[in-house]
Amino acid sequence: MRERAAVLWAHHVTTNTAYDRDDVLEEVRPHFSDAELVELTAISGLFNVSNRVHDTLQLPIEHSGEVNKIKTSVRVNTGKLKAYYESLVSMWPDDFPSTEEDLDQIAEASQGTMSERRLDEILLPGAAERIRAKGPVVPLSGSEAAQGEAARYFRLASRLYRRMPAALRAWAHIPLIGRSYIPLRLAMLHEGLGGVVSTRIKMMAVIKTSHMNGSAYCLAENTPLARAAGIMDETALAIASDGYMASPLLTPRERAAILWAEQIAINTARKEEHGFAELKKHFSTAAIMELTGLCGYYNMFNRFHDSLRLPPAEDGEVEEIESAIRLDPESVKAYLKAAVENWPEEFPEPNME
Amino acid sequence: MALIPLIKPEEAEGEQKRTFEILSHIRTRHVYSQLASVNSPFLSRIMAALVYSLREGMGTILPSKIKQIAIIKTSQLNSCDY
Repeated sequence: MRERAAVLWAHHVTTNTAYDRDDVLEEVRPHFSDAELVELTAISGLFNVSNRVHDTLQLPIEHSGEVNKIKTSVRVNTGKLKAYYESLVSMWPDDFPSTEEDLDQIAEASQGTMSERRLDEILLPGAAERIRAKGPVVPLSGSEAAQGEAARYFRLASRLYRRMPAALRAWAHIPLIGRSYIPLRLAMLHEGLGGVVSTRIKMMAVIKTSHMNGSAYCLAENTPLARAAGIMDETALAIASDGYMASPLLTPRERAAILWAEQIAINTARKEEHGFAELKKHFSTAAIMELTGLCGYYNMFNRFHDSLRLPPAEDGEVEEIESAIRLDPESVKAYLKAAVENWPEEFPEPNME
Repeated sequence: MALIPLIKPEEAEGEQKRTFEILSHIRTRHVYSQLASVNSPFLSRIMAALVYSLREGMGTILPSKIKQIAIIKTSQLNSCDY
């Protein structure tokens, strides 16, 4: 029964219908603890990234001889992971690359209205209220109620986040994995931590992906950063529209990124070659990899947040969301160092029921 | 043929080479997705931490069989042969 429930949940996470199917939730919920359901949602979400990145970039399939060499142990060696974190810190780059952006073109395109409405209110009116009315699938406690590893997770998170959004509170159910989510999300969206794509372009890809997936949570949560990157109401509407390729509010480079995001969201990039042809005109290989990874991960985040029915941020909360475009690499280095210093002494064993 | 270069560890230089050195703590063999992601070297390092801990179980509580079931269903729905 538990295995059948896992298949059913993975199906609805992948098809992005879990948030709306009370019957599915009713069938799945009794078989998993809160932490297990969060983990199951995350693993299905992660393979929505993996599948898209592999297919979009047309990566070759491993030969059967090579497949046999792929590591088959089902439990990670936590000592190896600690060594990995330690080397992330000890081999920290001296310099990080700058973004590849034409600032003149952006200034020309950044005209219009910047209202106080959240992006979800503009692009998916009514969606936030509908998901808030349903309520989250797992409890979303804050740091004050947390104990043990969850408490340590919140202390670590508070080094980089002033406010704990619902997503971070959901990851607190699997705190040792949540530790790795925190720097990933920051490095992907902000500038200054290894990326070469501007936050403005990345926000456009996030808006297109999240709109296509109907994720009010992600649109609300990314409103401050999108605004800081100069994305106006009209630009957001143009990105979400079917006619974005002809919009005068978008530069050719921006249109190419949005087209790529659209193709990754509906998983058609491997069949529609014009997407990559457009992208290649405007972006370096490093930027293409970064953008593909970002779009892939937003297909995970949209599904993770919506399947768990996380409530989108309300107006008052949105004001507290970090909106600095550039990230101080030292703050992330300090976070990783603290994660190593607070390495758990024991790790939970899987529930083999 | 892959749309972007698949960087081999023995041919990598600079930050890409350093990325492979860091990844060697958790990977003895690099799959194609890793060779592609090293094109964005620093993000590749940060991404690998989540993938490794979630997929292979640092602090996870779901048994691997349940996780593999979810992975197979997800990949089948996405028609991903990889």
